[in-house]
Amino acid sequence: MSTPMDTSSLPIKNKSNQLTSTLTTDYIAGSDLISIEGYRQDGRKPNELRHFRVSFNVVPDADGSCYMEHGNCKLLATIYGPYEGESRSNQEQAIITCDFSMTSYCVSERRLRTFGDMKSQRLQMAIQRVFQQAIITETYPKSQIDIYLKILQSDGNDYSPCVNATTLAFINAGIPMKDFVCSSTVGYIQNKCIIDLNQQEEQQKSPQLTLTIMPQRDDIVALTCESRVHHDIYNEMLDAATRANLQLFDLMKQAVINQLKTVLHVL
Amino acid sequence: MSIDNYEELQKFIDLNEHYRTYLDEHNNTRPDGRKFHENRSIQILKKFLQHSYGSSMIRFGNTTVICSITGQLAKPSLKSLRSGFIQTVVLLPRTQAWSTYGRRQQIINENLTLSQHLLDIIYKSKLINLEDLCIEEGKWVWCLQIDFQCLNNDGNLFDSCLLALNVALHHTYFPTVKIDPDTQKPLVYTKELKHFQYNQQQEPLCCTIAVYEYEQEYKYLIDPTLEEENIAKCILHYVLLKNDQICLIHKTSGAPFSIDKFHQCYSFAREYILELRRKLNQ
Repeated sequence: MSTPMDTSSLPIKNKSNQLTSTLTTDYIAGSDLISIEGYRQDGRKPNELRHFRVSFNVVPDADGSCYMEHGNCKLLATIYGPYEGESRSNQEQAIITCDFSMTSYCVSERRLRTFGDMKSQRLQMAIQRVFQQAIITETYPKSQIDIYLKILQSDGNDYSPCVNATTLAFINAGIPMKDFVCSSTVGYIQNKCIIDLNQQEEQQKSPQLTLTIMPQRDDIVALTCESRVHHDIYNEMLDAATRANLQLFDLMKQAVINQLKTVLHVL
Repeated sequence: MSIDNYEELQKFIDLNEHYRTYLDEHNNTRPDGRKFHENRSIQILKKFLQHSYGSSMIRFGNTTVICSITGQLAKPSLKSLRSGFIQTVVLLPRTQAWSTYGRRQQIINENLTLSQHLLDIIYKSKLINLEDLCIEEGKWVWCLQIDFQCLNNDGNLFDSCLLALNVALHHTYFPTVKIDPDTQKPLVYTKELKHFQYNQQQEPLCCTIAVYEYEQEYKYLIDPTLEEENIAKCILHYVLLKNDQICLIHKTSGAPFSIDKFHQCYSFAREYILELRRKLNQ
C-alpha cells in the first residue's frame, strides 16, 4: 500500500485485494512435497524464493518503517531512534533494543499470548544480537535505537522475514550499517535442497538450516542448524542458502533503489 | 519525530501557540490545510488476512487500523441457550501503549474504553444478533472475536475502528458447521464458506469533534489528528445509524458546555455523517 500524505477531503478509495492468495494449506506427507516434474506444493522450483514485496514509510511517526510481504508472511518493522538513552547507557556505543509481537489472528489458531512469551523473547534476543553486529554503533554513543516488529500474518518461520524487514527499515531510517543483512532458510527433502521454506515444508522432519549473512562482505552473521546431517549435505545446504541470500539481496537492493527513485522523482 | 523546519520546531515547543498563530493568520483552515469540517482522505482495503473470517484495513490520513474477525466454537451459557458471544479488543501499537509524546511515560488506557464502546454499539444498535451466532441450541455457538489493531495512531481512533468494523463485517465468511449425529461433535467445513448474516441496515458511523477554544469562541474540528486531540478542550463522539437514529453520544473531559452549543455540534455531526455515508455508498 502506498502512502500519500494528502489531507483534503478526497473521494474514498477502495482497493481491490491484489495481495497473496488466501487459501489454507493442508498437511501433506514428505514424499509428496516435490512432484516428479520438480515443482513444490506451491508451484515453485526448489531454488525459487517466495513472492517478495516491500513498502517503505508505512508508519509516518517512526524514523524508519517497512511493511514486507514474503509469501504469506506479512509483517511490519518500525525503527525509532537514535534517541537519548538512559543515564546508565553505554558511553561508547548505541544500545539496540528489539520488541517483537504478533497479532492474535496471525495464525489459524487464535493466539492469546502475543508478546513476552518464550518464542518472542528468543526472537528478540536473536535480532538484537544480529543488528548489534551490523549497525555502526560507534557513531551514536550514549543513545538508543528501538526496533518494533509486528507480525500480521505468519507462515511458519518468522525469523528470516523479520531480519530482512528490519534491514530495510534501518535503511529507510538512514542509520549507517556495515552491509545489508539477509536471511533465509533451506531444507533438504528427497535428495534436493529447497530454499525459502513455508510452514508446510517446515513441519516436515527433514533437516533445516537458517542462514543470516551480510551478502556484499560475505560474512556469516548467524547460522542455526538444529538437525542431524552428514557434513556433505551440510555443505550443500550452506551453498544453497548462500545463493538464496544473494537472490534475496538483489530483490532488496532493487526495492531500495525504486524507493529512492520515487522519492527523488527520477524516472 | 524529526524536526526539520521551523514549523515542526514550533509544534514541538508549544503546540497551542502554533495553532493560535496559524488561526491568527488564516481563517477557517487548520494547519494541515483542511477546513474545520473536512475529514482526511480515507483508504479502505478489504479481505487481506489469510486466517481470519473477515478483515479490513482502514487509513484515515495517517491513522491505520486493522480489523480482524475470527470465530471460535463455544458452549452457550445456561441463561440464554441460543445466544453466542462477541468480544471486541482494541490494541494500540506497542510503541504507544506508553505515551511517547515528549518521551514522558504514562500508560494510556484509551484502548480499553474504546473496546467497551464498540461492544456497546454492537449491542445497542443490534448490529449483530446474538441469536445469529447459534449453531445448535444449547450445544454449540460461535464466539466472535473482533480484534482491532492500530498500526499508527494519528488521532480519531473511534471513527476508524467503527468504519473498519463495518467494512470487515460486510465481507465476512463463516465456515459451515454440522453436528456429527453419532459423536455429537461439531464438524467444521473450512472450505464451505457462507456469508455472515448481520443487520446490514444499521451501519453505525461515528463523527468525532474536537472543541478548540480560540479567542473566547469555540472552533469545532471534525476528524482531529493526534495533535488536535491533545490541545482540544474536550472531545465529542456522535454515532448515528443509517435511519438517522442516535446510537451513542459521548463527551469526554474538558470544559462544561452550554446546551445550544451541544445542539450545534449535533447538527454538524449529522451533516458530516450523511456526507460520509453518501461517499461510502458510491
